[in-house]
Amino acid sequence: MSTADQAVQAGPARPASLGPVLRWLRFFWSELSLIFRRPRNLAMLAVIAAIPVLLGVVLKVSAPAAGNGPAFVNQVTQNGVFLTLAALVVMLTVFLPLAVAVVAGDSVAGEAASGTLRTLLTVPAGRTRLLLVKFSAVLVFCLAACLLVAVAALLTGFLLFPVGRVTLLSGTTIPLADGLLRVLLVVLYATAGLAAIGAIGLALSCLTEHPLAAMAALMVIVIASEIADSVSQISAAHPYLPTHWLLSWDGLLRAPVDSAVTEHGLLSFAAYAVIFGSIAWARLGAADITS
Amino acid sequence: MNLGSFPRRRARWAVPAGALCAVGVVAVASTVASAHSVPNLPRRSAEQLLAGLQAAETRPPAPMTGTVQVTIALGLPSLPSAAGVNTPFSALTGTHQFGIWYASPTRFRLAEQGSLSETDLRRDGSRVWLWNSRTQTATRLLLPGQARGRTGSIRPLPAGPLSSPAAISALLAVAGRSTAITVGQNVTVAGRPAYQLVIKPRTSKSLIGRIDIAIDAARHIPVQLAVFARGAAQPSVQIGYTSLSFGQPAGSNFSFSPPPGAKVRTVSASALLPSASPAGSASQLPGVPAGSKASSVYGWYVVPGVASTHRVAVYAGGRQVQLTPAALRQQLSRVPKSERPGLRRALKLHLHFSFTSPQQLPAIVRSQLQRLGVLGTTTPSSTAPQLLGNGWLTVLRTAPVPGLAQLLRQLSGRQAITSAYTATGPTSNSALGAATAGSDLALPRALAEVATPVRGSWGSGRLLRTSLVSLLFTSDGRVLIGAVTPSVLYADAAG
Repeated sequence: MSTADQAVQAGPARPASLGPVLRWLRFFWSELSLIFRRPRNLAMLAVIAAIPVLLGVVLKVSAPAAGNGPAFVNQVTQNGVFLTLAALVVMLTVFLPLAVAVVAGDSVAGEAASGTLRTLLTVPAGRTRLLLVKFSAVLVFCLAACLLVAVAALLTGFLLFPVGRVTLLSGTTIPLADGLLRVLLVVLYATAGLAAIGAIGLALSCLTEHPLAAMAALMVIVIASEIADSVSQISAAHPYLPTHWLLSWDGLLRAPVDSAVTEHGLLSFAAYAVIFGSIAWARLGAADITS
Repeated sequence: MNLGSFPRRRARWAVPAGALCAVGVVAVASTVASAHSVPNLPRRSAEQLLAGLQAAETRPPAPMTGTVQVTIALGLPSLPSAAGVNTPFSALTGTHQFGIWYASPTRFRLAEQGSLSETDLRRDGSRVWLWNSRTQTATRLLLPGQARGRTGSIRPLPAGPLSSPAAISALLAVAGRSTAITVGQNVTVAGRPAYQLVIKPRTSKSLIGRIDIAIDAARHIPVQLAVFARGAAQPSVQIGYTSLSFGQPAGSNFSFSPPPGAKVRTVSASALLPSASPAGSASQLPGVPAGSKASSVYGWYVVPGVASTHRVAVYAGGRQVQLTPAALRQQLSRVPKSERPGLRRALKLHLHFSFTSPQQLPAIVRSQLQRLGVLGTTTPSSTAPQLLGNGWLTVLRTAPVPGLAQLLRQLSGRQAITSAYTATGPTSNSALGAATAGSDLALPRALAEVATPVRGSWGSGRLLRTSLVSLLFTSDGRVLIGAVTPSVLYADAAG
């Protein structure tokens, strides 16, 4: 059952009995169940949860020498909490953006391709509301994916490695509970970064009727942005790249917390979300949906 | 389909366009406003600004918390990414951020905040710790006995790349005929209004176009230093505060105990600190102990004092020698009349040098030290790098680097093969790799590979030229480096 079917049923059936807020929630819920019941997405989430476990097992079997490998990896054997951060560092470059691309790219183009978008737009729900619901659902997916990484990594880390006070980048230690709180903040920051990528995907998804095209285009943008971010000759343009701030949560792990960089990153994500959200809004409102 | 409630189709696109413009305006405005706002300040002459700097230098630095950003864009060519080359080079390019927490000369913290990493230097009284988050290593630096609990006369490190006036003083030492010092446009640095001192070399052989020094209007401390290559609009090197606030930082910044699981090492810091000289041997009296004659002076500065209480302190051969005002007057009376203003000016400006070779001292100071017998007239040992020329045209020349001459020969040989057969076989590569394996030649090799072969009456070698720095590898394995045109390097290589 597509969102459209549910919305149609929910809409005209008992319009008077449902307040606007409840109708929104219902629409939102149907969109969420669409995302989280799709076998493709579930398989993707399973892979996302498996990678931190795999990483933990690999590190248990053979720990890398100090100073080698990605950040935090050499700390995992001493404190399992760092498996979360190591997993996020590893996955924020490709795996998580890829998952977001699949969901965001599919969100509007998928409905256009299957013909349900037309039905959906006949409901007097409003295209703006449709878009807001779609973006909120993508946002929830970003949060779910990041939390899944964190929880899978935490469980693996707690099982395989010792756990204790958390050493910050500055060399000072904080209690485990405070450390977990900081990990949660990192997860929320990463979610915001992925949501900005999701907004780009949503705009692309409104531009085409082929979900695969939107997904591929978003991945091309993400990878091109990451490559451009590593070219030092254009360092002046780096702060404006969509992926530049994805790992800038390191300020949260310093003592005292250095929020300046993190705030800058959040502003960048907000700017991307606003620009591409409005592009999606303009496109969805202006275009004839042909199928 | 009912579109009546929607704005007209074209008009909708005004929203994303507007959003893009708004974001662009905000982004540009925030950077431009902070970088280009010109605060209104009472007019000051260059002399007044220098006097302010000088006065600020005599006061101990105030407790503060700040962030310093270092941006380096030397225009180096992209290097072949050989293993081990990235590490030294990442330090030479790009942007680096440092957090500074400063309470007193014996309590401070300096943190290099890299991406997902941090290196901290903390000093809390006699305890000095170096922390590296990448390697999870805590290194305890053992201070020599006399430095515990007090600083001696050493300026505190985190008072910064800026508050330490060595670079500025060195420039002022060459002021006059070789240098023009003017007042530039006022700037805002770290949200604080600042004057700007513009220093320009008069010689055209220097690659440095100008050096801008921003001086905080309220506290007269240098807050930003920008080095421009000749003709460049953007600085090649810029060091400046991005945030700066005064007040006692939290004590938790200074104390440190190694976190569980970290590797802990202990290293003696005597080799790192110039103040390592035993205080007992420092003579407060005029004249110099016979044993103090040393072939290498590595420090020379004027101890700030009021009016006539300045002292010239000299570090010689691991010992500190101070001259009292009486001795200073006596020395001054021996100085030829024509040289006196220069020496007086040097004394007045509280020059603070930290040098590795006597050649770095201003000629007038060098000659005085030689007269005192502190500085030997013998040539420095052949293995130490030498400084040639003076002022803006100073060039550093290393002793022949072991293996470098051979490497250069191999490079030119490989080039001949390349041009003849347009193919570099893996054999030649591996031969070169074997020649340099296990040595410290990775960086010179990478640099030499991108350098262009040059030859002239002075000899032959390979030249690497960037906007700010020229680097010459001579065929005998020496390296000459300076912010000068290649012709100066050639002249020094011949000499």
